Amino acid sequence: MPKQSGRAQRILLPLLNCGAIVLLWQLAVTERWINPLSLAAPFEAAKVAVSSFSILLPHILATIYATLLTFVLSSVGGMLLGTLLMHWRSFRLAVYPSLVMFQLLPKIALAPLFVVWFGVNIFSRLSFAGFIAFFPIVLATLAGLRATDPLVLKLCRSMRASPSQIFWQVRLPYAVPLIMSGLKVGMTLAITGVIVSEFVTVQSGLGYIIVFASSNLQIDLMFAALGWVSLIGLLFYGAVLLLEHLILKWLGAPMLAGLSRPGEVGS
Amino acid sequence: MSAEAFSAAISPEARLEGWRRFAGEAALPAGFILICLVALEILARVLAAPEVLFPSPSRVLTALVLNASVLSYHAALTMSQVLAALVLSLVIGVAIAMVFTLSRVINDMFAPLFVVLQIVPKIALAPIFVVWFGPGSLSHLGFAVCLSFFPILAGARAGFEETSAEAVRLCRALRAGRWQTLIHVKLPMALPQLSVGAKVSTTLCIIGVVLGEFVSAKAGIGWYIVQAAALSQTANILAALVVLSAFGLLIYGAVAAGEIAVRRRMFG
Amino acid sequence: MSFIRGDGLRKVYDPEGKAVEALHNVNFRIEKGEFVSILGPSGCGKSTLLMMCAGLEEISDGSLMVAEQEMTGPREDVGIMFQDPTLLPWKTVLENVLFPARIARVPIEPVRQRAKALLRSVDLQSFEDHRPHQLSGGMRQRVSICRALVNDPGILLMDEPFSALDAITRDQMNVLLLDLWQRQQARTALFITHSIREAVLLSDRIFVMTRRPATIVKDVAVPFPRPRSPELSEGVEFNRLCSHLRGMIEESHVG
Repeated sequence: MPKQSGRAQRILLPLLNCGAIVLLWQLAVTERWINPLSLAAPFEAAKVAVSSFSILLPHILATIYATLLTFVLSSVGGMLLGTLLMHWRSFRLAVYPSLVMFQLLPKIALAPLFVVWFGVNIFSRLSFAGFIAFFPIVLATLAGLRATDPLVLKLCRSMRASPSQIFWQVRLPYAVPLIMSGLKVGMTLAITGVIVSEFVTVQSGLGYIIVFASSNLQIDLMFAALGWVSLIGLLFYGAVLLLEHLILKWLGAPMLAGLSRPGEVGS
Repeated sequence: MSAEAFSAAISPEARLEGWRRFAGEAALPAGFILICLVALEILARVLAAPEVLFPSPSRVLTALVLNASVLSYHAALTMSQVLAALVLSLVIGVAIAMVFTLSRVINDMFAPLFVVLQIVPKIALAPIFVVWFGPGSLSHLGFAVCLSFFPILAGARAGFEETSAEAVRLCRALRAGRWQTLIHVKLPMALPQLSVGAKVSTTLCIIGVVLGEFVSAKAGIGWYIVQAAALSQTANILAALVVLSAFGLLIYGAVAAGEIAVRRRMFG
Repeated sequence: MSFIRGDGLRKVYDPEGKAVEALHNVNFRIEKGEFVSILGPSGCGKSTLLMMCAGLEEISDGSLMVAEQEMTGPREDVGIMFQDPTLLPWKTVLENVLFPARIARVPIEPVRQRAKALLRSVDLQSFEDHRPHQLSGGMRQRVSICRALVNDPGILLMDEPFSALDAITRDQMNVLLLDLWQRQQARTALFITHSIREAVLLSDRIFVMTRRPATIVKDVAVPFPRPRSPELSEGVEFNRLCSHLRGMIEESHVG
């Protein structure tokens, strides 16, 4: 019977592997195996990330604020619309296919359009990122609310529970896993939307720094900014995971998912 | 499904009933879209908003028709890159998943790395591909593959791991080697999960190529949109989006159809 | 020398650090050509013992010898049937039966003839090109029998193969197995079941196993001569033996 790897092996091996990769990478650049204009040495990039911190800070904050605001607005709006669609049948029947269609559209292609409409400012960035992050949250909320076990609903009706009781005490808790997976996708898309809009508006934010650094061939700065973006991405996603864990714990359910299946990250 | 049920499902009456239901279900949303378009048209004319802000649907249609050949040229360019990226992602994703399944050590070393890389906003990497490959379609291809092989890798891995324990036990009882088990059993069983990953991957390929074209290009739909935006030609941008979406849906539909065909052939 | 021989076999599982002894001091001898059933309550480790004989489960202690060789892993002269037929859904019936031969990388043509003959013997010859989803549960188990026999194994291992079937189909399967078995008696068989009647009808000997930590408490010979027919199960002697076994099993529970 093929054995499962021991816990030690599963934790140590990837860490050692990462360390080895980073060292190899560092060596590759310093020994000029790879053109230093293509790839920054990780230690140099880290140094720059720290030394230019004061320059990078306003842009780091800009990206963080934009992402946070986008996520909050599209989550709240998305969940509200999802709830509305759940309860209003004819509206849902009419609108749902359009929503799915919008979800399938390559909305990223509209980034320049938002600049045409709203100009080169924070508002166009927020609206674009919100536009992208909004749809998966709506669809996930709707799917979650409709996923309640029909037998439980029958039970509630036999107890003559009011619609509001059914919603808050039964539908919503059952919907949590799907809504959370929608929020995870929404978070990823919020960051994506913000970065892309920063590429396009080239005004502020880490996206702007990356484009700026690449055009000036300041590879170290570019990788430093990429490092910060990765960190922010991981932290925000981790925050959503934590939120999921806390909510599930509060509901008394065991942790249903660690990282969502990566395949679920959508357009 | 029994023989009777199967033939009942494809009888002429059943087919007609199916079409009727489809028409009914499609009518309401189609009607809604039509009403929306008409309402937008009326609104645009009444408000007489500048075309930059709010082109009426008829204007977009006109732009579409007028620029049809140009748009088709750029769309074809973009889509050929998307297809190439999709094929490459499939090959790379499945290959890596197979390596992970064949070697537990390599799996333990690299799999967590890929999980972390999945979360990192790889979208920010678009400019680095331009630095590496220059401002041509190779950088778009590379970036798109970088974005889109993850769902395929995840789907393939999930498919391999979720192969029924009974089937794996059968292979062990028959003394099948790891490679044999992979090819004969795990790979076919993974196809459903793989298709799910492939659909997600298609969307990401489109995003990757278009974004790559935003960042640097001399042709392609993404480049066209950037040019149109510089000239504030909103109608043209929307027309380009329509073309892009149409092609995108075509490819997505092809992948979905492929999935159904494979499923039917393999599992009945 | 016995064909299959177990001495002091022990199996210990260690889930989360709490050792669970599934098998304790299991001793048995099976001669070539015997059909042996293992009877016992659910979850008592019968399947574990079978899996050990199949080389699919590691032996914690003791020795297991097959054809005078130490058991180290799956052998090529073993055909196995599980409770779940485990047919590959994308292969046709014939391809499913041929699967062991493909894995073993032997020339396919002679095996194909044998596979067709086997399918004919279980009355499935007109279903060769069908897919598993088009067959009933009983039919799928019949395909599973053919697959187990396609490489002409010297040992046939069966883990409650008919438990998931309805009573009528199960009876039909018993008759089928009896018939197949009696046509070619060079095989040795180990058969796991809950059903006393099934065990008595099919076997030459019956091992009665206790609960966990399981061991073989009784080794009962089934004296009816071969070839047997299904009417045997209506006879007085048959039912007396069944009652006797039932009593034994109940005793080993209380103890």
